[in-house]
Order: sequence, then C-alpha cells, then structure tokens
Amino acid sequence: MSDFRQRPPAAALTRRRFVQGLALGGAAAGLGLLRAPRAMAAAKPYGLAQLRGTRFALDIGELPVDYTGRARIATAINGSVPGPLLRWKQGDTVTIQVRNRLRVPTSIHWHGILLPADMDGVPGLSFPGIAPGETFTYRFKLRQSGTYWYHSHSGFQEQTGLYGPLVVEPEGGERHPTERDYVVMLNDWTDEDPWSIFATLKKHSDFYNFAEPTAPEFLRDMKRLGLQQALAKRKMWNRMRMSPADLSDVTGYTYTYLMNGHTPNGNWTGLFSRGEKVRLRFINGSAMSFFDVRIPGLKMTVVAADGQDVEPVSVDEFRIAVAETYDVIVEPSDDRAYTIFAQSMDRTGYARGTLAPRTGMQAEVPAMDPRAQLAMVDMMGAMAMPGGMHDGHAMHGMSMPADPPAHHARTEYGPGVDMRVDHPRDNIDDPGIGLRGNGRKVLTYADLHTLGGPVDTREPGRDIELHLTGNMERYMWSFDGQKFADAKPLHFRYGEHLRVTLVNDTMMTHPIHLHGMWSELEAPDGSFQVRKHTISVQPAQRVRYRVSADALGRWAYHCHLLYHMEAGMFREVVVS
Amino acid sequence: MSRAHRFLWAGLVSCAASMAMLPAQAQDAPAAASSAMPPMQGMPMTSHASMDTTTAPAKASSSSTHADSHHAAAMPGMHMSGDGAHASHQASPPSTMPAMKQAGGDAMQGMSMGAMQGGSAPPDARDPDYSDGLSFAPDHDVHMHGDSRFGMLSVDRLEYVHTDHADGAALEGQAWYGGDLDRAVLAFEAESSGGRVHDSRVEALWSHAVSAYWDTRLGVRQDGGDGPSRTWAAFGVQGLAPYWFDVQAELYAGPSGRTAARVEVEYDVLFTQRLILTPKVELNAYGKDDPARGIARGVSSADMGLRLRYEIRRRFAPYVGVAWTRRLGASAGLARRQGEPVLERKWVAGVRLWF
Repeated sequence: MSDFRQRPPAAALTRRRFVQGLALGGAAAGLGLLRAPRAMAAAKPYGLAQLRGTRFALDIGELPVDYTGRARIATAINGSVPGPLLRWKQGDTVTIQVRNRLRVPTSIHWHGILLPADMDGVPGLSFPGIAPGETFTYRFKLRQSGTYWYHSHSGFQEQTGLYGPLVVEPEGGERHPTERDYVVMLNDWTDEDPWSIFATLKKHSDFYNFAEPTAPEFLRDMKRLGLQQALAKRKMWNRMRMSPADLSDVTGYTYTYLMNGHTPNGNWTGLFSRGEKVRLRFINGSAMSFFDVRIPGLKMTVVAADGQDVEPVSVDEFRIAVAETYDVIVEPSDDRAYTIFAQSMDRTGYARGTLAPRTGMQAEVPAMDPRAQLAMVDMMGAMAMPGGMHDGHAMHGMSMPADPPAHHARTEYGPGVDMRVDHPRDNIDDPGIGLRGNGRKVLTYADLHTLGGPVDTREPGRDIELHLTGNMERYMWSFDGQKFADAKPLHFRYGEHLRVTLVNDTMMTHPIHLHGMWSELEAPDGSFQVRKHTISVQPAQRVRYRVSADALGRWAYHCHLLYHMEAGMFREVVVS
Repeated sequence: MSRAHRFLWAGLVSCAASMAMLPAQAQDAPAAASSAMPPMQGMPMTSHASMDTTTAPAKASSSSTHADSHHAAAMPGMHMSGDGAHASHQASPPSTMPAMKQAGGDAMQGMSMGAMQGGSAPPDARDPDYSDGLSFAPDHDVHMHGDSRFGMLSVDRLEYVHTDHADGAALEGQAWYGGDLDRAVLAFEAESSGGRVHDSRVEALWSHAVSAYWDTRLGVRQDGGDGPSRTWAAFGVQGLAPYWFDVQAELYAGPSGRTAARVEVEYDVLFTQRLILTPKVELNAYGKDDPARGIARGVSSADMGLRLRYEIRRRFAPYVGVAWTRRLGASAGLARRQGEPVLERKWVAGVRLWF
C-alpha cells in the first residue's frame, strides 16, 4: 500500500561534513574553521531507522554528534537521534526492552498512548525509572492508531536527543491510503548543556531574546504615530513590566532546528513521483519550540491531529505546538522540488526539508516572516477583542465581554505570579501570535473535528478550573501559582467524566499534556471539538476540555515546554 | 558650573525626586523606607507581610483587608474588573457596563493593571486544592520540578576610574545562592585610588521574594576604607518598579544610634539588542554626623552615572561611561573644609560580567 521508506538523499550523504547549523553553515567550512576529521568522526545518522513488529530492544546510550561545527554528546536510542521509527499495529501487544547504557537514570514515555499507569514511563509516578546498566521491559496493548512519539521523562534528556517517532497502523488500514508515508519530526538542538540553559533563564530570563523593544524603534514609532500614540503603545506593557517581544524563552540564538535529525543545510528529503499522494506525519519533539509549517506551492490536507483522525481540512499553514502531531496529505502535481518550511514561532530560525521527485533537488527556501509582537488580546483576553482580532495598540472599543470571568485561585497572589487575566478569551479560532491575518489559510483548533465524536458522551459531572501561571522575571512556572514541589495531586474519581478549564494567566503559549487519558477540547459553545493529548493554550486564552477518568493510577500532567515543566509547571493526577 | 553641568544636575535632581517617589508609588514597603527610620526590631516580618502588592496606586493602607485595599480605594473602573474577577460565579451586572465603556483609555489601563497584577487574594478566591485529601506518590521528590537551587556571581562594575585628581578603580556586584524565593546574597562595592581602597561596602543579606517583582533583604553591612570601619544592620527592598526601573532601597542601623539609608535606581535604554545605555542614580543619607568618615547628618551624597555597554556576549559587556559624585548638604561643607571636591566627575571604562 504505502512506501514507508525514510530514505536519505544520496547528496546529503556525500556532504555529511556540511551538515551544519544555519548560522555557521558552509561558511565555517569554507573558512577552514571546521576541523573535518572530528566532524567526520562524529557519527551522524541519516533518515530514520525503522523497526516494526511486536518485540523491540532499545538501547539508550551516548552518541557523538555534530550539528553546528562543534562536537557534542547526545543521548541516543539505538545509536540514532531521533531514535528509530517504531511501527506498531493497533490491537497488538508490544514488548519493548529498554536498556540504559548511560551513567544516569533514564526512562521512556510513550506520548499519547493509552496504557496502564505503570507502563507510562514517568519516574516517580509510573515507576522508579531505569537505573544505569538496567533494563526495563514495557509491555502494553495498543488500543488506538495514529502518529505519536516517545521521549525520555528524566531530567533534560529530551533536549539532548532522547526522542523518536511512533506510528500505530490502524487495524482496518489507513482511512486515507497514500503512496508515500513519511514522518517529519521537528526538534530543537542546542550545543549548550540544558541544565546551564535552565540556570541561565533563572538568572536572566531574557538571555536568549534578541528582539526586545529598543529606543530607535520608539523614535520611529514617534515619527509615524506621534508621541502620544507611541507612548500609549508602550505604556501598558512597560507599566506592567511585560515585554511584547516575549514569544519564547529559548531561541535560535542557541537552537539549531532539525527535521528528522537534519539541520536546514542537511536538507532532509522525502521522495515522491508526480501525482502521488504523500502523507507527512509531523511531530514536534522539541523541548521549547513552536513551529509554523508550510510547503510553498502545496495545499496541505490535515487528516489527523495528535494521532486521531479529523474531518479533512485544507490549509496553507499550521502551527504545531511542542508535543503535538499533525498528519497532512499533499499531492505534488509538478515534477519539481518543494520546501517543507518550519519556522520557529519567534522567527529566530527554521527547520527545513524537501519533497522532491529525485534526490539532490531543492526548492527555494522562503524568507522567514517578520517577527510579531504580542497584541493586547494576548494580555487582556476578551477585554481587548471587540468582535474580532486586531493588534490594537490603543484600547478603543473595549467592552465588557459576555463570557464569565476567570476564578483566580488564592495561591495566585504570590511572588510566583506576575499577572492574572480576569476576562480570558475563548476564541479557539485564533491561529495565534504571528499568524493572524497573514494572508494564508492557517489551521486553528476551530478547524479540527475529530471523526466519530467524543469517547465519552455523558455530560461532565464536575468542573476543575486550573490557571497557567508564571513569573517571567523570576522564571517561575506553575499551575494556580503552585509549583509541583508545593502542590497536592489532582484527584480524578475513577469512572467520572469531568471538565477541565484552563486559563492562561501568562503571556506565553503553553502546550498542556495530560498522560493516560484523552483531552477532548470543547468548542466555545460547549460542543465537542477535537480529541487531543496535548492542548496548546494561548496567552490570555481559556480552553475547556473533557476528560474521561477511565485509567487508574498516578499520571503526569504538565506544560510540555521542558524548562517550564522543570520549573514546576507540573501536577500529579491521581485516578482512583 | 557650565551649562551642561547645570542641565545634568537638573536631571539628577528630578531623577532623585522620582526615585523617592517611584518605590513609594510602586508599593508599600519602599514607602516605609522613605519615612523616618523605624526601629529595626520586628520590621522585616511586618514589612514582608505588607509587601504583597505591586502596582496599584491605591495601596496606601497596607493593613486594610482585601476588600478595601484592593477595591474600595481604587479608581472607579477598577471596581468593576476586580468585582467581575472575584465575584466568583456571576458575570458583571449589565448596569455597570455603560460606565465601563465611558472610561477613557488611561482609566481603563489603570483599572486593568490594578486587577491584573499584585493585590491579595479575595475571600472568595478559588481553592486550588483538588486532592480530596490524597497525598503524593511516594517518590514525589524524584522530580525537581520547581525546587532547584542556583548560584550567580554578577559584577556590574569592574572599572578603571579617571578623575581630575587621581586615577583609580571600582568594583560593584553581588553573588547569590538559593531558590526562587529565598536567597543568600553577598553584595559588594569598593573604590580605590592610588592603590588604596578608600571606600568599601559589603553586605551579607537574606533575600526573600514577597511579590512578583520585589524582594526584601535583611542582613548586615560592613563599611571599610578611609576612617573607622562601621557595621550596620541592614534592611531593604530590591526589585523592578513599573516602567522597568531597577530599584534598591535600604535602611541601616548601627551602634550608638547611627542610621543610614541608601537608594539606587537604574534603567536600561536599548539602542540595539546589545548596545545598552544605563543611567544610574544613587543617594546616601545618614542620621548622625560621622566626621571621621567625612559624613554629616542628612543626605550626604548623590551619584549619577551613564554607562554605555556593548554585550559582546550577554555575560560579558565592556563599557565606557561618565559619572558624577556630588556631596550634598552638610557633607558638602565638610568636604570643602577638608579641601576635597564637592563635585567630582569621573570617566570610567570597564566590564560587566556574570556567571
């Protein structure tokens, strides 16, 4: 049916020395700065190895890599970064033996897979973790199908390469058969030690942000808008000590963005023949980066989100939050190369690959879009949206929204919380900062409709409201102002159907992942929208989703931005 | 004084004035700092308790309950947002909406901010405990997830100083270790000329976060250099005031009834992402004459500096700048009698670095 090959382009193989990050690229090599022998010695795997069947042996160990011209040690699975593509079959029971060859404990979490709690791979909740030298055997039955991924849940290993793609083939065959089927895994690589990134953010949280408002910009605005407007534009942000440039904590300043383990210059390539249907399974396995993905010249038909089939929707572009997956189908009709372009949300870099009829081809790489600044809706929520989105600088036309106000927790008034949104916006049809009104058809959550309806048709029996909170200056992140270290677990009663309301009281977008159970997003009118494992909540936005508490045990619930999670944006959910 | 000097001094005076106002406007505790010296005993705790507010200008009475401190004293617009937010299960009554719409831009902004930052929890705030009495998994502490500790050394000034009289060097910075809320801080400042340290200040402090942008600091200070050394108990606040002003305000009490105060305000002007101008103002005041150290009662000196740095790396930024030290009041008279300059201009060049 499908051609599952993840074949690397021959051209790239002969140019392995040039697999560099964007900043250095060929220039470094040209200047002789690159020590070729070392770069050669650093084994860099190409494409994605693929394993199928029901029994798997995965070895976790160190691997020398070189993405930027500097040799580094990654944590790899079976000697590759990303780890091998695991192809499973719905209904099968799989057995995975994971051996730890590192000097520190490790773990593998099967992201989005429904399984018994003790197989979920979260140290401290599911199991004690896998000690150095030990082997842990995972064994569970696959009740679902779709595109997922796996990654370490120990320390910062997710940042250093311990991730890989997962595809569970549906029992009855794919709903949309295609001639080609490729995983497109996006990652953010850094040469820095992740712990040092975390420590740096704790000291100067704007360390990686080189887009802060400047005095010359103010002067330009003054000329353009006049002094009053220029001041008004800044007044609220400055008075609140908030930066409208605060799109991401860690940026292309340190990150090299990877597509299937290839840097932009490495140009991962997927082959097609004219007229074929190509399924691209996008997985964002980044630690901190949101990507805006498009393929200039091709419409993409989104057919699945987070592994679950949706009503096909045709788009030009979609934003993929950390940990989300989207399956799209493209039909390239011309005998030419197409660039798969995934620019980071903050426009500090991109991952790039190519769809081509033959190896060695490439298409033009588009320029990155201009970097946007946060708008008033990202701070004020519903207060700043008089019937539509606009980056209003002044407060004209603000009206009291009809939506009920947020209920702040009493723990949201401490040093760990730098703002609270009283009237969050419920507009899930907002593509998000940097994508609004860009002239392209951009996917939003409002476009996603899971086929077959919700898993649980009962009305939710109760509501739990949780607020996403933080303090950018102190680099503290939490739910309801309580870090994991200080928070009690959330109790879901076994068998109940409940509604979780998340209110984002910060100016960052947070992908929130509940382990073990689906998060079924509601439309603003309360009807079922889409089934997901990771729900991205925009600044000053409120989302509501239903959870069927049908999985006994202790589960992790957290922001999937790695450094936010480590800072405390993490909760334990107990189903009992 | 030249015209340029006069202009600069006008700037300094207005900075000093706003400096005195800023923290006071920003919140309660710095307001306490600008009042007469209170006794040191018991002060830190009461101030900690009263410092959980930040921006709202209505926070004059820190001892009042939530209802009056957060709502009643605020501008009319603020009521509505506050009430809307906290009257848990009700939408705002429609009757208030016209008033809301009439509110001008500024009033709206003030209102929104008052509600969006700082404040204290209303009595009907949501209970974040959804545990039904369950406790953590036994291996809870396998994860750090929020209670890691960090350490930092930052040298804000390591500079060569040139004046009309002498050349010298200066060092200022701090080191800290701790978690998000509580840190041990060692702050240091020293100036030397002719190979001799003529003024130094070292403070060992416990820093405690009391609100989103403010820490209180409690500890000891030791002064060295010319004259006899002095030891003080120190209490102060440190934080980020609205509009991005870095503020430090400290009160000191020493043996034989000595008291002192020090306020420092800094601001970063970004010309580019790496080329940054930092104006800085520091004021020192003393409650008692200390002629052996050239100090007279009252506001004794003002320092103003302009430093232009280039962040080659975030952690390493060379700079050049100019600074003025002006002795004020009776201390100026003291300086005159001792033949020391009342106003001293310094050209500086140095590096700012941190780890």
